[in-house]
Amino acid sequence: MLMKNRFKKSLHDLIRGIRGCKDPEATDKYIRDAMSECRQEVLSQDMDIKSMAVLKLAYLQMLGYDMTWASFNVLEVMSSPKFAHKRVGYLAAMQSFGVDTDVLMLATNMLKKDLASSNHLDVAMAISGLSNIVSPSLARDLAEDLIKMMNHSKPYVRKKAVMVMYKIFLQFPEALRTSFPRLREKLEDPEISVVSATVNVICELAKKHPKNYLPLAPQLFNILTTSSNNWMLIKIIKLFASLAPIEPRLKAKIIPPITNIIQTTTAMSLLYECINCIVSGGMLSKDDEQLATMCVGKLRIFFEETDQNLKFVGLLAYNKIVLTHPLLVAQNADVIMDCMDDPDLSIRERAVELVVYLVNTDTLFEVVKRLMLQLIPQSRDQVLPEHYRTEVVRRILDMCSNNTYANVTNFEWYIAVLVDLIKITEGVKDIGAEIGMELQNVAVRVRSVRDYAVGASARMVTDKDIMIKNPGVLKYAGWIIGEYAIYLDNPEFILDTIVNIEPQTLSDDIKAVYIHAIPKIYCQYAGNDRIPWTHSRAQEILQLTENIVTYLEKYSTSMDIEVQERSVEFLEMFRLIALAIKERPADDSDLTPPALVSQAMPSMFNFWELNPVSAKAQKRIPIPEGLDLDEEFNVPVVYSESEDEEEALLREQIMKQQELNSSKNVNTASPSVIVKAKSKSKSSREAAPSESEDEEDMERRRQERRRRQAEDPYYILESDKVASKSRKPRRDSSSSESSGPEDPMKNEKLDIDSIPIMKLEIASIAAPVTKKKSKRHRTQPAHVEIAKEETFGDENGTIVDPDEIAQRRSSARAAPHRAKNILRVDARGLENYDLDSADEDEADRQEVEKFKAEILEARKKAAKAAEEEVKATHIVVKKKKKKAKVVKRVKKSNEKIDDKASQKAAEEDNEKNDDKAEDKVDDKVEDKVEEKIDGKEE
Amino acid sequence: MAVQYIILLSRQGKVRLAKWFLTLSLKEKSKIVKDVSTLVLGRRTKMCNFLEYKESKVVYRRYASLFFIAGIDSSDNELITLETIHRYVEQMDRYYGNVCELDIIFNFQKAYYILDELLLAGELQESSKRDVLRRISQQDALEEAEGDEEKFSRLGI
Repeated sequence: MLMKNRFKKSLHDLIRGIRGCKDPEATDKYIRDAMSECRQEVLSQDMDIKSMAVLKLAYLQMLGYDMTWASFNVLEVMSSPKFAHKRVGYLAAMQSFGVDTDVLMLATNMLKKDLASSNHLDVAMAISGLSNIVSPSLARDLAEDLIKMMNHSKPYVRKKAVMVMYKIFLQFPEALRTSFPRLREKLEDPEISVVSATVNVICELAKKHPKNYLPLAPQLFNILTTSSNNWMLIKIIKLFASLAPIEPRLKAKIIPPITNIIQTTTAMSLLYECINCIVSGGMLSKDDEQLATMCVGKLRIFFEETDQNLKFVGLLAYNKIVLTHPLLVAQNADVIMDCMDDPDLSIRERAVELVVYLVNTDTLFEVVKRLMLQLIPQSRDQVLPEHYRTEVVRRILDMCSNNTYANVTNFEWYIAVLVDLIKITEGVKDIGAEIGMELQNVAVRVRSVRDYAVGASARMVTDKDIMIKNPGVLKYAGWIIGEYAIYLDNPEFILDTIVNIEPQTLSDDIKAVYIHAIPKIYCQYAGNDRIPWTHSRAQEILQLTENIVTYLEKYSTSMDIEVQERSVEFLEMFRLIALAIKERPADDSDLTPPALVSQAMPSMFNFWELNPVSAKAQKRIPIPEGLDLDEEFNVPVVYSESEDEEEALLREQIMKQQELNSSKNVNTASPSVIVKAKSKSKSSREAAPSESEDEEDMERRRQERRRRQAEDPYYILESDKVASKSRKPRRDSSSSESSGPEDPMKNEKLDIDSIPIMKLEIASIAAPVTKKKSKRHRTQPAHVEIAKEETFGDENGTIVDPDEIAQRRSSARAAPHRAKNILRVDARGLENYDLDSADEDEADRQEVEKFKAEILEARKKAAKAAEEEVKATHIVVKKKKKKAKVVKRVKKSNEKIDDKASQKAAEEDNEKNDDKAEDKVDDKVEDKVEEKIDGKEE
Repeated sequence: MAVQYIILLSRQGKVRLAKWFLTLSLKEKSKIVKDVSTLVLGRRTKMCNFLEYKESKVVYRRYASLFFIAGIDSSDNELITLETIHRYVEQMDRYYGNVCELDIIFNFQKAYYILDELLLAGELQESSKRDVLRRISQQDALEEAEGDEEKFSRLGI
């Protein structure tokens, strides 16, 4: 009673009050009132009132109300001598303090006092509290105290002290060096909870930098084989999964005990951890058939239970194993396929992910059908979430395109699937483009179904629904109908539809593709010389041409540079065509179409067949000898008063063209992977035929100008500016122009398109490399020819990465914008922290001495070898490599020793420590591990 | 780190306990609580107890009207986390005696104390069931003794 009267509300009253509020506003008001009461109460001199206020604040903090303003009062309550207050204080601190809470600076001494308390409950509480509020400075100041606590008489305190060390290490990695010997001792602690705590800490540490903890392997191995505490075993196994990848010999040691656990344990969590360890510890290589069979077999049990959780983790494990042992996992295809229709979407997603690896030519059809059925909404309210639908579509595309369409036997079917996917994914963001890319890929690679693809694309382009709900695909459909216009049944209808689309319906990137497709389709239609050029046809085509001109005029002022450039480019051409048609006699005396329509224009597009080009092809092109990519070939243009008007005009044009050029270079690479092997120059661009005298003349003038520049200080600024601009284009774009260095006038001529993009005459420059021109075909079971990607390189080098398509598609997928993951613990300090101070005894030191001698010897040898190398001018490449390795290794060890030596000089008084540090030589440590494990086993 | 946070959530989406083993700002915490609540409350029975959230995993289990939610690293063992949650529920059950939501609401600090004895820095610190409760009762006894002492001193004894 006495207590209750001293403050307005107890915690009980507060909670009841909040629960009594009817609506959110009332609650908010009530809490605000309570808050201001607390503001008064925390200032009270009475510790009971103060601590109750802090407790109330902690409750409100949980509901999302700030209490950082009361940090100092929390600290006051923490430092109360009464345990009840302290408990509340620490609770509030753990809930509300952060690393940057400024009162933490005042907390050091209080924490030191509590850690030194005679009451072990105080000590334990301080440690628990510290685990949540430790800052770098607290960690530095308290590390010593905590290391002492690791030897406390009570196991209760010991285990807490050990566990909090991880938090200390995160903030203050240096503590690792001083505490490591003791941490190691704790692995032998008589109390199991302390050992378990130590394993926990080392497990976390090893995730960051496993190498430091390899020397502990024998002790850990001992625990693995003797302990029966599942909690700890799971951690130990996890720990070995971190160590195994850096010490391959560990695998042979730990596989038997782990196998034993797998065979005997009844705890699913432990079984799962064991399998996970084998898989993620990299212990399952392709030839570990027996081990893999056991894991896969054991995992099947997970699916026979009704527990959904086991199914989920089972699928996760299968997803990892399938990478190395697809055939074994495929034996369980039945249970996995069942999961594809599980009511739980997370299970479904995992199953679908897995099925991609399991389909073959026989099952593909069935699996795709099942997945497509899922995508069709059963009823209005049963629509699956968008991310799941996206996921399913991607998986369908993956499983079909896998390994260059190895599983697809019927491409008509595949195109039908793609068309259906477009229909059923209406409204799903971004997925249209992925499906479109697939359609494009099939159209390019599989000649036999090209007409189907074109038909499908034509229907899409004219479909108003798709324009609104799934426009992503149109970029690719537009490209297909343009490139393969020859297959179009009704080109004039398509052209008519395109030019009549309202400008605001489509985005700029689609418009750009359409504008490029228009002339291609136009050639197909108007340039058809088998149809007699009658007067009526001429009128018809004239009308169409004029429509196109109007259409292009609309976009010739577009803000989008790509749209603008392309429309301006073709606009002039269509104007010329319109003129040419008008000039023809108005009767039927000449039945051949104008040459501009029937010959000039088609020749722009129909010169070369397009083939898929490997994305890596560009990289494989060797840089021709004598070509310096950093060398400027585009001489900076300067503003000069003495320049005549003509030159000034020219300069302006160049500048403009450079801008267009660079933007074009960037853009042409992005919309499709296919690079056209175009060596044809555009006639419209070539304003005047270039003459060699002209070129020489200009070259001379440029030389003069350069000389002038060099002397005149006023030009420096301007030339710098222009020069930096000319250097701007990306490296690969400059290399794509690499055939043109002999032609420095290209910019002056404004003839960018005459630069061959693909057709590099490499063979003549670099003799050993020959371009593989012949297409490599792969015969499918159904005799479908799928064009392989073209690339450069020798026979071995042309192997196309089977995952390349998938990779490319995934790169096309809009990467979801991910903010920095706040849930990830920042452990950068530990990741690079090399533990130099492992505690080693005399014997180890001797070993180090011995190794040092070895290194010295190796160093001599290497010096000798180097001498020989100088003598022998003809060296077999293989040998050279070996020697280089030796030299490198010796160099490395030399550096290490030098490091050590300088360290020694610096800390002579600390000699003993330093000697200990010497054993950090990798090979030796590994050897020791091996020996010790051997010893343990015996 | 094994467990990143533990949240107790009522079926109505009210937070009954929120313990963070990593330091985040109030804003970040609220965001996570909000996101995870929506995810978990949207689950139906017969679905598995694991979720993915921002490159981490969420393990949850419903006990009566309360959801117990734990956030773990993507490399951690989901099944053992489920057992940790169960262990926590068991301990509370013993401590409060047939625990119900109201016990936790009105004695929220006790729920935190139990959790602090079970987990430290996100790791399970005690696998013995008895030990955890023994520590709590020791602490409670100490608190009580202090209270008695104070009463006596106030009475002038």
